[in-house]
Amino acid sequence: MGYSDAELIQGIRNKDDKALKHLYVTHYNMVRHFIVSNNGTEDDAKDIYQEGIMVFYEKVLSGNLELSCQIKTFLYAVCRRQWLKKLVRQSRFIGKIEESESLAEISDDDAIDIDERENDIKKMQGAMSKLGEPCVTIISDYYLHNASMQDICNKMGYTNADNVKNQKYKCLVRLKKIFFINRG
Amino acid sequence: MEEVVLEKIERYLKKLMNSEERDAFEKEMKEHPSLQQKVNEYQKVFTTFDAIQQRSALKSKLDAFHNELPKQGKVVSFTDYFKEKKFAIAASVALLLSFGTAGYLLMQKNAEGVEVTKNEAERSRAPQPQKKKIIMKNEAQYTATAFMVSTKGYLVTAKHIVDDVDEIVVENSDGEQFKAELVYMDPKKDLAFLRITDTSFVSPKALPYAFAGDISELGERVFTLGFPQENIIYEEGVMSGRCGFQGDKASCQISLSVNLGNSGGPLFDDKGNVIGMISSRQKDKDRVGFAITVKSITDAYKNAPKGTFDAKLKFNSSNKISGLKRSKQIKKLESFVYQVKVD
Repeated sequence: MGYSDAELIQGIRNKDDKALKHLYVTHYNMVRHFIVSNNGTEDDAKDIYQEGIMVFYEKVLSGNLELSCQIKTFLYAVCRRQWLKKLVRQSRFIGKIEESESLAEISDDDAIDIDERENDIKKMQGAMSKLGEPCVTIISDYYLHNASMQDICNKMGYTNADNVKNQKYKCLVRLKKIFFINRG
Repeated sequence: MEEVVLEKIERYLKKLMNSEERDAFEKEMKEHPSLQQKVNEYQKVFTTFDAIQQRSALKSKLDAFHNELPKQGKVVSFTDYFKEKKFAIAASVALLLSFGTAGYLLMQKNAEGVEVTKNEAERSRAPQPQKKKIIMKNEAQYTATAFMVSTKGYLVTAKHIVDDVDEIVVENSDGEQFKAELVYMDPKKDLAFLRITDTSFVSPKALPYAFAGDISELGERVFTLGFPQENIIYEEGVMSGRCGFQGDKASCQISLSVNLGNSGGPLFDDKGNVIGMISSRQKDKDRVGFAITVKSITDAYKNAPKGTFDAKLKFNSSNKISGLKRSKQIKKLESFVYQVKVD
């Protein structure tokens, strides 16, 4: 079944996995071709493509999607940019890019958003890795896995949920500190 | 102590405060820029948590979609179904699927049980010269057709045949077998390039046929050679459409009886120029076939990443057989058409 771009966006907004899957399947080959033609592997293609889809997905859900081009063009531009960044980072960039699609640059605002999001996630992962126990478990169970205070209390052997709560806030203060020290 | 205000900050950010509480808190923020600063920082922390959580949920969905992708190409290949042991079951499954009505032409070995057995029986009775046979690790799962595009041993076939296979053996009309490797698959079209790697392969001096850049006119006679059975089979028909299935400009429509196993075969015009490669046929219609144009083949070659081909392919433009009678043409052509056996 075909979807128009507008229907895809509406579908994703409504958390319709069929629309998401359609989007995913439709454009993978385009990105794969680009990555594989430019010094990348099948796995690189998958990673970069999934990043591109995530960026698009977040943009749709956050409601600040101003698409001035086709979804396809947007995805290509995002993936292209992410891949070039990666190539440069790994010093694998050889200065010439094989294009398979007509080129559209993403807007500066989009570029800043994408980089900031990527940066935040990396910093957070870094901060979590420095946090130590019991904080990592408490924070990740509570904030990333939606566990309740009571669940964590039982799991970690605290006498009551209030103790966990206090501990959680202590951990959060520490996490925030590491997170912001690491920034920039 | 930051922990003390943190509970408030969190309740504010998670919108758990009632309006009274919220107004008071916002007023406090205005009066204390340092509080405002903290709120902003925690907001960043929380939105990053949300992003991570959202991404990890999304990632598992995307991975599931990814695993359902065909290994190459978005065309859902029939190959997967034909790999099933029982052709009959696979075929009925394929008919039930409703992605378009173009079905690929692939012959599973022993699919036409009786015929195949008969051919083999006849063969074994006839005195046979020593022919090189390659023992595949596993019995070939199914067979199709390929044809030579360069004297260096490069062949073209349909992507859906060689997509995701371990071993490729090609056999010429004399029954000689050669090992081949997959060189390149076009990301968009149902096209793949193979190379004969066997050392026993002797490069021919030249190809007898030329590659025609232009699509033939409608109504022109066309023919193909292929392996819908163990033996090479000639089929003829006419050019019936300038576009392929659903208006696909990269292919053309032919009225010609194509069968399972014809996939990947060359499509010739009356003079014996290659004008395309047989890729699929319309289901439920006996004489509606589709061929990928020569232009798509040369484009695929041009667009392949640098270094894919270790020799430069020169698509032959001089036809040496245009003046011959059809039966003579076929004699010249048939040794350049190969049966593809894959596992």
